[in-house]
Formats: sequence, structure tokens, C-alpha cells
Amino acid sequence: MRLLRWEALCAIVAFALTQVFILVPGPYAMALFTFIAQPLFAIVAIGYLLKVRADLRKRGL
Amino acid sequence: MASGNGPQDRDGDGISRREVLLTVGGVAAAVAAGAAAWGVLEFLVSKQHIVGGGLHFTYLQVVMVLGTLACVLGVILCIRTARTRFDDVEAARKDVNLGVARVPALVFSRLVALMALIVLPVGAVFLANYHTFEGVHEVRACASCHVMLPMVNDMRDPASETLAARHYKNKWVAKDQCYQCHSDYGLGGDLEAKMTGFRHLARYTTRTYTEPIVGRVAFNNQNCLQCHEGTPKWVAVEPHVTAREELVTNQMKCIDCHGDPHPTAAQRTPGSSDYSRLMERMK
Repeated sequence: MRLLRWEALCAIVAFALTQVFILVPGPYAMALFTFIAQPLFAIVAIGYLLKVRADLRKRGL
Repeated sequence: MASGNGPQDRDGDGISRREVLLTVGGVAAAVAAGAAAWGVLEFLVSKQHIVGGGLHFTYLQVVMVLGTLACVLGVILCIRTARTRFDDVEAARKDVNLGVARVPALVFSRLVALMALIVLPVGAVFLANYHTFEGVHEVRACASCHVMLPMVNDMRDPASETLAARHYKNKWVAKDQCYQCHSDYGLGGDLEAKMTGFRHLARYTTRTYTEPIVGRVAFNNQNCLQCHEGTPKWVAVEPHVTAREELVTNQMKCIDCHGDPHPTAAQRTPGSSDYSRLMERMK
């Protein structure tokens, strides 16, 4: 595993949107969290797990 | 300690079974922490708790504090993860002093990445979803959508005689009045209702709707019957008893006899004489 840069940047965006929704709840903030932040977190998790899997396979585990 | 772990559990490329177990344990801990956080929130929301000198916590305050902690910590750890080159960390073979223990820098960096990309996002999503599904119970949440203002303003109007307004001014429903009569609809209802709620959210925020809005979903009499059915006042009205089957099976509507629950579509149409009054922002 060399870098997790794009995953971390996506997660920062998702955290920021989630923070906005938590502090200033409203329909637009809820939509940003529901339709952008949550899928971003899912993409981040998938990207991270794929890299961990590739790393483990490379090391024969 | 230069490179840390003993040779007995480390393979040729430098990853150990302990690290793998640590990762699996971290994921399990994340799930457990999420479930525990959910349980604590349920406990705190069920009633207000007094702590120490009389601090009253509501679910909103708890979610705000925990959510902010999760998000801020998440951003900090993500920045650190984005700047970490794991190959370089592995090659350096240094240790990190955590105060109570020294761990290999590579293990530490991987744990930080796990926290930043899995554990804290899971916590933040739990809290924010809790915020969503608890928050939509409140009248204020319904009124935050422009198209719902006529219903909420009318309900709060003491001079109104609609069904919702009569329930409100007579305090027949003590709190969360919208949700109590629409508990089978929107983000507070079952899965199908939640999906409808998400569709409405998407249409509202993309402004792909026209006023006056018209409900596609038929109102379920069960929302009325759950409070009224079987009470002495309800039983005393003979048509209720004779038409009970039709009411329970929604063949006959409660509002057929009891009048409009909310302002009519004509009143909610832009340009109508009532429109501007109904659209005033709530104070």
C-alpha cells in the first residue's frame, strides 16, 4: 500500500458535508449529506478495502 | 526497539499476523462502537437526563457534540493519511511513542488510516442518520421545507378550523404533531415510506416540483384510529361502529366526514388570496 490520498481527500469532503448537516440541519444540508457525503464515505471505504486487499495479496496473506 | 515485532510472526515483507489481527479487531471495534453509540443515544433521547449541576441534554445536543468530534477528528486524521507515504514509513522502520507503548510507525500509520477512513466515517454516518430520523419527527423539520409552510402555518393558526389546527390548538396531540398523524409516511415511516421521503427530499432540493403539492400516497386511517378507535367518545358515535370495517380497511376515509385536514390545494396555489398568509415564515 503506497498512498491513500484520493480516499482521504474524498473523506475530508464527506466529513465537511456531514458536519454542515449536523450543525445546520435543513433540507439542503440533508440532501448534501444523503446524496453526496454518504456515497462518498462508501466509495472511500471500498477504495481503502481494495487497497488493503491488494496489499495483503501482494504479501501472500 | 528498531523494527518492533519478533521474527516469529513477521513475514519476509514486514507485515505481521498481529497487524492483520489488529486491523480485523479495529473493524470489529468500529462496529461495536457504532452500536454502542446508537444505544447510548437511544437511552439519552428516551428522556432528558440531569447530569451534575443540572445540565439537560437533548438528542440534538448529544449528536452535535459527538458528530462534531467525529468530523473534526476525521478531517485531522484524513489530512495526516493523505500526506503519508506508506512505503517510506515502512522503509524507515521507526517507532512511534504513544506514551504508554511504542508501536512501529507503519502500524501506527495504518491504524490512523483505519480510523480516518473506516471507524470515524461509520460513527459520523451513524450520528448523522440518527439526526435525520429523529429530527424529522419535529414540526420545525417539516416547516423547513418551503412547500410544507402552508400546512404548518395553518395548523398553528388559532382561527383555523381545519382538522390539523383543531388537533393543535386543543392539544389533542402534545408534541411532534406532524409526525403523530403521518407516522407511516416520509423518513419516519417504514422502508417504503423512507424511500418516498428521500424522493421528496431529492425533488425539493432540485426544485422539480410544482405548487400546490399533491400527495400521491393515500392517507391511512390507521393514523387516526391508533388514537381514537375504541375510546368512549368514538364508540358513542354510531356510524363509527357500523362503518368500522370500511374505516379499518380504508374503504371509507375519516376525512370524508371530518373535513379538510389542511388548507385546500386552491388555497395553496400561488396567486390565491390565502397564499401569502400561509407562506409566512414561522417565527
